Amino acid sequence: MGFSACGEEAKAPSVTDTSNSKYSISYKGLSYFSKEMPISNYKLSPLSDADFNALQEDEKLLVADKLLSTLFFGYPLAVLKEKIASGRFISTIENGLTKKSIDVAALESEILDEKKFYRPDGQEESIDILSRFYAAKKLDRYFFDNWVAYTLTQTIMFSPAYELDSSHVPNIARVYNRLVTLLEDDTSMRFMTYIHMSSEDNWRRFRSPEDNGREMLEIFTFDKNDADVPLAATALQNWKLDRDYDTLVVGLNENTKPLSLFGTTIYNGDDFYREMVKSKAFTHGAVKRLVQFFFTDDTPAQIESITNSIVASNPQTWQGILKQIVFSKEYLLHTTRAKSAEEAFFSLAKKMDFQTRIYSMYYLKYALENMHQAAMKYKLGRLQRVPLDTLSFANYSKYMREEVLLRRSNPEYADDYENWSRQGWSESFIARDKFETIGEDPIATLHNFINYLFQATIARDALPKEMEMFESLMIEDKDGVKNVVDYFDILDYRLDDNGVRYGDKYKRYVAYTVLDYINRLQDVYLFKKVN
Amino acid sequence: MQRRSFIKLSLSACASMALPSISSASAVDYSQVQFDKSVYAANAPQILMIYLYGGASQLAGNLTNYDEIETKSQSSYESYFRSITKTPNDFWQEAGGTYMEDMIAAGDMTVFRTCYSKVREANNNKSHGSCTNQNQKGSFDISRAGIVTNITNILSNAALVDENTPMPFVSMEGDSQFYATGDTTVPSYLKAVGLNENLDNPYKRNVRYWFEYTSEERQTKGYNDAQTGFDPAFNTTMNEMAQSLNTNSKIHNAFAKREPLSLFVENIKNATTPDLGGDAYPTNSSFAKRVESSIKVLANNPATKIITMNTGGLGGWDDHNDARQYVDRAELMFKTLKSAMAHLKAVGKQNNISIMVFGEFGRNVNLNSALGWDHGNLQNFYVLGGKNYFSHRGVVGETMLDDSGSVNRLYMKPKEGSESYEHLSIAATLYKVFGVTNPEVLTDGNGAVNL
Repeated sequence: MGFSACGEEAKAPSVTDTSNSKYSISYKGLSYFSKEMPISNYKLSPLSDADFNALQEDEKLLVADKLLSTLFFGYPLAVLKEKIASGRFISTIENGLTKKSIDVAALESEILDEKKFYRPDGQEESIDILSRFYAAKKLDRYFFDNWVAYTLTQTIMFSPAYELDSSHVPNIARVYNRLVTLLEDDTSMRFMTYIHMSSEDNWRRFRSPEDNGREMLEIFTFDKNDADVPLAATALQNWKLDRDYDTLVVGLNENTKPLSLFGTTIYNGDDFYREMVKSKAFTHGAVKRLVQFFFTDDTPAQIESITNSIVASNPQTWQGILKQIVFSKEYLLHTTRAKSAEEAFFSLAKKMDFQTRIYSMYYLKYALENMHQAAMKYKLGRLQRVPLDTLSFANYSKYMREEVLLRRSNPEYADDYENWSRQGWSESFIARDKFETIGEDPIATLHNFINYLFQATIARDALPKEMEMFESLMIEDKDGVKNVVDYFDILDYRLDDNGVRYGDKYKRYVAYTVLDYINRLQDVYLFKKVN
Repeated sequence: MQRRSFIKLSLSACASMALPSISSASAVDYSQVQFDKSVYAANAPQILMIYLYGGASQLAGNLTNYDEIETKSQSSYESYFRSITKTPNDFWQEAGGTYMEDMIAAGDMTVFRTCYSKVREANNNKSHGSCTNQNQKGSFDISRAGIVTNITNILSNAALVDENTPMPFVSMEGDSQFYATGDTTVPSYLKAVGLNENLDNPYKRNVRYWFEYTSEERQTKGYNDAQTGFDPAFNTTMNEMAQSLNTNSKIHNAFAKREPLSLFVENIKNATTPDLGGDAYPTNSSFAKRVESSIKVLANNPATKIITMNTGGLGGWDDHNDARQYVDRAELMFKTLKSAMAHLKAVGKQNNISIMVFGEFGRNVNLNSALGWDHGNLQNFYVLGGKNYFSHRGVVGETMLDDSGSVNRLYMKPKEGSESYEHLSIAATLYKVFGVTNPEVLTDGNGAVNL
């Protein structure tokens, strides 16, 4: 583990990450490592398998999809239904997050393949992070730790803030990769935050003793008292970001006068950061930041109540807080909020076996900027997690429509990553084995296919009135006899000149039309509560 | 400078207000708002509000205390900035001062130098989040609705904007606290719409897929031609069905506005900016482009009442270090504002369109070890144009240095007896321009600035 913190950190004892004794290592009361909290210790009531199994079938699908999408994941419908039917859906997902099953070396090698993922100079890191979520096919510990790091770097706490002149895109990699590395090593959230706060990356964001001290107090402990700023600035008086090289320099002219903060006495910058992360205010503040990030539509009183529940469980790891949130009944059953574009895209990509072309992740990065959901860009993180103003949302829905839902990957270009036609959902997404075809009944088959598309993408059936709407276009009434319009007839077994079934071509027209409609539904952009 | 009856700091209404509890929550009571339609009609106000996120230093517009600052500052201004030149009105020449002098001389601008909060001073509050919340809501109660929301509801209650008013409120900055709804509701059709500086049109959709037309529709030659064709009726059917199920108000609103906005943007895009000669907008600046596009929207669509924007493209104003960038930023901003005034005059809109520029607070004036400034309390409020309702006064307010004696605590504040305002008076000014005759009921007792 390569720590790069400053100050007293150099005196820290050496660590061997293979020994369980590491969990007892601490320095001046700051514990370096922590095992993850068992679910039995959660104070924010978790959704159990039994709770989940007691839900209605349609609710199970909705909740399962909400959980997976939150984690940037999804399964093809049949796989998801199988997992739900196992009766152990929640525990299976939870357990999966504790074990490594991804071949990390292969995954990391794949996303660096520039034939598949365009990585322009100076932007490689931001593209890699997005590519990784797309390319990873299993929801395991490595995926989860990456998701935790991604989540943290979207918040005000850890945003690399590459929009600033003093920060740069490579700072994304430094902050993000360091978080992943530390998470993989069971590092405590306090020590991780201490390392981050005292890092050059953080100083590139908040660049003077007053600024850094003020913002760390406010961000991590919600201390907005201007009277505390001079104390913090005095403790940090020998810290500065070199103006010419954006390099953090810690001088030797430390403060020697005692300062009273966090209910203790501090002197220097190391004391300031260390005692802050050890404080109760830090635990409450850090938890609250994440609760605000996931319960965006809750009232301040609800936020406080959820925060207090999690704080009562005495969390020591970021994973422990985030799992407690996303597996909670409160979140899975009772919360509505807008989906971020990553939650919408990565989950759909996995559900639809979405194929990318070389520029797909590059365009996603820019699309996120247009949606005002840029990853790790903003100085204060995504204060508004999913902007729904008309401009941001127009970019969001346009991207989902034109780059995802209405894009079919042409199998002829499976090996041609440069080709525009490679990007889109796979033919496998609408393969005949994915929905029930009923003998010589094209209308019933059409219904089944439409319902399949609804369930596979937005986790619900088409409503009767929605089905009627599609029928108005796709079914014609001739002399009192209802027939599927010929170019929507999935069961047309005739072959064209290329030996392709007409029905397969027509199936695409149905899919395009239904997905064009689904794009207009809030279900694509919104996590719903279960009533 | 035309001097009016001053609200003296020592006697000010805000000073006599019991310092409100910042956490208290109460709904806006619109029934207490007195609205005068004739004032609104006479003013015909259209406002561009430029918010300086980060808290811009007041020094560009006020070097009156500079000599004393230089002697007391931790780092030397002279040696860092190299050249600091005062203009006749004590503006910072290199930081937009020349442009400010021109606009003052032309009677186009007023600079209020003494927006200062006694309440924040008492509460030890110089936090970005809460100060922006307060300024954009015009209240210390940050659970309240935003300024634009209140104006929306006031105009709506007076039947002056309705579902037929095209794009009454436009944001060039995405969502912000100006649009917070608090305990109020805003009809979907009156919610702000978003545009960007290039007037890009992400609202546009190609919906002319042949298989979404009925066989009857396909009988028309070129039915789905991109230029000459028509949209399938099924597209409308899908929109209506989806909207009947879209219960989230923001998403519903965004979908509802998509098509009209697409047409609106296409129309505005075709509008041209007159030749402004030597006052042409700066090139290669997305901020200047955004201001220019905003003026185009206001000038070409009288129904647009308020546009809010940030200074994206210039950068933020949270100059804790390397404050030299502030000088260039301010210079570009005031050059752009002068172009905007020239633009307004060229299209004959300088009387009803105004521009207001402010942020969350100003800055401490100690140039710190990182050669920047920490947060302060006193800021400038710049007001341009709007001659139907503003009689410009040039420079207003006098300041003094407040040296606390501790390191990095060197502030400017209003001179004893000087005209001075709480930051919330900016909101009150906006309400007043829109015809509210008792704006202080919305702004914790703070009245409008004298203009």
